[in-house]
Amino acid sequence: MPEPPEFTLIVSEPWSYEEPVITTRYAMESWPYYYIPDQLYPVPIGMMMLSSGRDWWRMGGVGHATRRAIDMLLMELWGAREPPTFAQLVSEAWPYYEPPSMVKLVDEPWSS
Amino acid sequence: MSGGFGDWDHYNGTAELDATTYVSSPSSLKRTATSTPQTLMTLTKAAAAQALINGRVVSQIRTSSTGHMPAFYFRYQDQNNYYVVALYYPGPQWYLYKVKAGVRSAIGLRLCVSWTPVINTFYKVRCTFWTSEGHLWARLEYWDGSSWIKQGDDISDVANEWPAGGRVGVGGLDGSAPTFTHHDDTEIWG
Repeated sequence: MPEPPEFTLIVSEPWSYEEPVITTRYAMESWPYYYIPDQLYPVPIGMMMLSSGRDWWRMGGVGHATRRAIDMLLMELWGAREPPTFAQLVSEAWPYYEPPSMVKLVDEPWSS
Repeated sequence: MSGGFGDWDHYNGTAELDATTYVSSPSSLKRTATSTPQTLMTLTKAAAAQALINGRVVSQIRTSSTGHMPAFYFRYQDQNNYYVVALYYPGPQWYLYKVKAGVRSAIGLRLCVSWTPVINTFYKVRCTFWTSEGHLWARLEYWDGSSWIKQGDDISDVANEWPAGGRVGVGGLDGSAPTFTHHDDTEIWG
């Protein structure tokens, strides 16, 4: 029975989300609203979008279950036990996740 | 060397990254059938793997249904011309199929060795294909945690179709809506 030749690795695919660009848009009351776009999309107040490559989760409302889901996703992306606060996102995320030039950190509603 | 979801072509059914079921965090590839029966293909776009004559595909595989066979595609020309190795859980056994001019024929099958896969469980498997003595050869192996277990004798096709090579990838075969397969930590060697 013949044996196969030696091979070299061509593709290694972990099927992981692409490295996210994290931007924050709103801080309402004590609860931050996040979205992590790979393109610039208008995000209405109360909506959040998490991007992982070409997949998007669109979350409306900020009920407890939604908050928990956001927490879990952010913790996974963040690699931390606790979800980042708005301040942490602003102070810590920016140096590591250079936002696209057309994305600006704002704390006011989308106006366009 | 690693790419992403967009670095693959996903044919038939639906394709998504699943953040709830995986081997390595945070996600895996999920392919879901949307009709019956369906051939679900996810083929790499990597330039170096567009015309593989010999090669190997390694992947964690998982299925939700015994009738939806995790599959490895190679020598792919188009939707009507390719080889596919598929794992059929009820045997358990695996097949080497050839689809030529849209007609599928079984070249051979082998019973699994020291391995009884069950649904909804990930297994690390590799499929190797190569040309030797003018034949196309295919081999399926299962990783038992310490070594690769060859799943019976290799299967060969004397016709050695598409000897100039073709595309490669993973997916599912004969899936019926809404069954699905998962794939994680996929590697292409050539």
